[in-house]
Amino acid sequence: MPDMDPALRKQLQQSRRKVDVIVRVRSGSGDRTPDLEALGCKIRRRFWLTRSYAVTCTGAKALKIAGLEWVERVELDGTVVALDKTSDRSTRR
Amino acid sequence: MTEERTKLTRGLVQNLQNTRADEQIPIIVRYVSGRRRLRLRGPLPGIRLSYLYKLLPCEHMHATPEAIRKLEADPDVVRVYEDRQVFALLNSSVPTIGVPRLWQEGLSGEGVRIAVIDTGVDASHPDVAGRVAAQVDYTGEGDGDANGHGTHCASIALGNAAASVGTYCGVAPGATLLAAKVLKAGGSGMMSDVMAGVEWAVDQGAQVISLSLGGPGPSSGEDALSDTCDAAVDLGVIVCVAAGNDGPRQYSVGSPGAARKAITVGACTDNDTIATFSSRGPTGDGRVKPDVVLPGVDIVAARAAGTAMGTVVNQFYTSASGTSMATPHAAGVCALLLQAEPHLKPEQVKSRLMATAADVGATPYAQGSGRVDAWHAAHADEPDVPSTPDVPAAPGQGCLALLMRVLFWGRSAGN
Repeated sequence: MPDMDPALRKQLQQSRRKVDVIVRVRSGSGDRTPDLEALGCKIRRRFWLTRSYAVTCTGAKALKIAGLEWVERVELDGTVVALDKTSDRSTRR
Repeated sequence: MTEERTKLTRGLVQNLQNTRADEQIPIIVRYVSGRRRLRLRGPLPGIRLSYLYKLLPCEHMHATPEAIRKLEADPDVVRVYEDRQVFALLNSSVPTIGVPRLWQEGLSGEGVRIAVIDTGVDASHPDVAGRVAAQVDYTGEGDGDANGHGTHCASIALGNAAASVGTYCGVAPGATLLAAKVLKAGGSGMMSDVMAGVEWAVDQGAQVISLSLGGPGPSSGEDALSDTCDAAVDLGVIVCVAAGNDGPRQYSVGSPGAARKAITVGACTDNDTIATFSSRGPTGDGRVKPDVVLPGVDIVAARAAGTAMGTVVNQFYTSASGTSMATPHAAGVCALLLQAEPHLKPEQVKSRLMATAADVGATPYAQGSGRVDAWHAAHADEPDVPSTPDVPAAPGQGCLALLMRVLFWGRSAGN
């Protein structure tokens, strides 16, 4: 089973809505676009620097993907903010 | 009375023309050394004393125009200066890190491509106009900068001060800009869009990438965005990332600030005090971050048209603080080093910046190796490099600092 943050696993288990995740595949896995699409995932972006896909799917699907042999890691596609202090966008959770 | 003989500075004379008779304006009075100060003479009409300086025979006060004229006629008074609001300007922060000496040596970042991955850029701003080699938008909002953050950061890295007649000049005014828009007008975006921006920048031949953005800490640097930054470094691209603004608590460096191979940048003032807000290490897995600090408090730089980010200075400039502002300082310095030595690898540049940084007396988790010293970084392999820069440190903030500049560093400060 690939590495997954336990908090994210719990979040995915409880989520009924679609989630944005980043799926990283193992080296030598080739293009996994057809596999992900066959699972009903919407692929938003592909990343050649890190062999990753930005994917939108249900929490259950994300958990299923995380269990696939060719998947190295699944993580949440989080929010980032501009880091000017004059605005009111704290990065604290 | 001719201008040469008046004791009032030119700026004060101009201020008086727009001052009501009953209005008290802030001034600084310099006395003949050793003479009695107003404070010792008792109250005078139209004058409210506020501060007596110790290093110089000077006194800060508020005075009406009539009282100022009386001061001018006082034989114990040598000079009367207008007080005014001061900022940590680019023309202050940039000298602090030793950049003007590199300009004097012919370095400007010319030929180096810096990618700013942010809220986009106002390509029509005079300070960057004509030097935007390529733009891309991953937000769906279209090109341009409806927030202002990206334009501000870009001009810190490479603005040429065209709209300020040389005043607010960025670190590498000869460099070329690649602008990837990954944050929406509200200043936030998705990690995956930032990753796309980094890949685009690498594709475009960027030599330096500046990321003034991030997520919450702590991060162990193993997330996809941090790994993307490290992968770009592996391909020979220098990546500068902001540490974050969640200081002073420890473990507050997020992603991509925790990326192992990136240059993680914290913020300090022009006086080498670590900014309280600057995120502190260690990273989630116990590594020291940030790597270095650079000025990031009250930085005046380009204002995108129609935006109100920060404290607006005028039509073309605005003042803002954050590790966002410190990071493009680092990117600009990297561009100068690359122009001087194009063969340098990212790890060599990072090592140079860290090895030559000035210790500002903070913990490694606050300052990393210290405040970047661009000149020493560029001359690190030369023998007999002096331990302190010859260029005088920029004046800091406040009345006394301004006064020192007026008195000792020429007549450029409104005199």
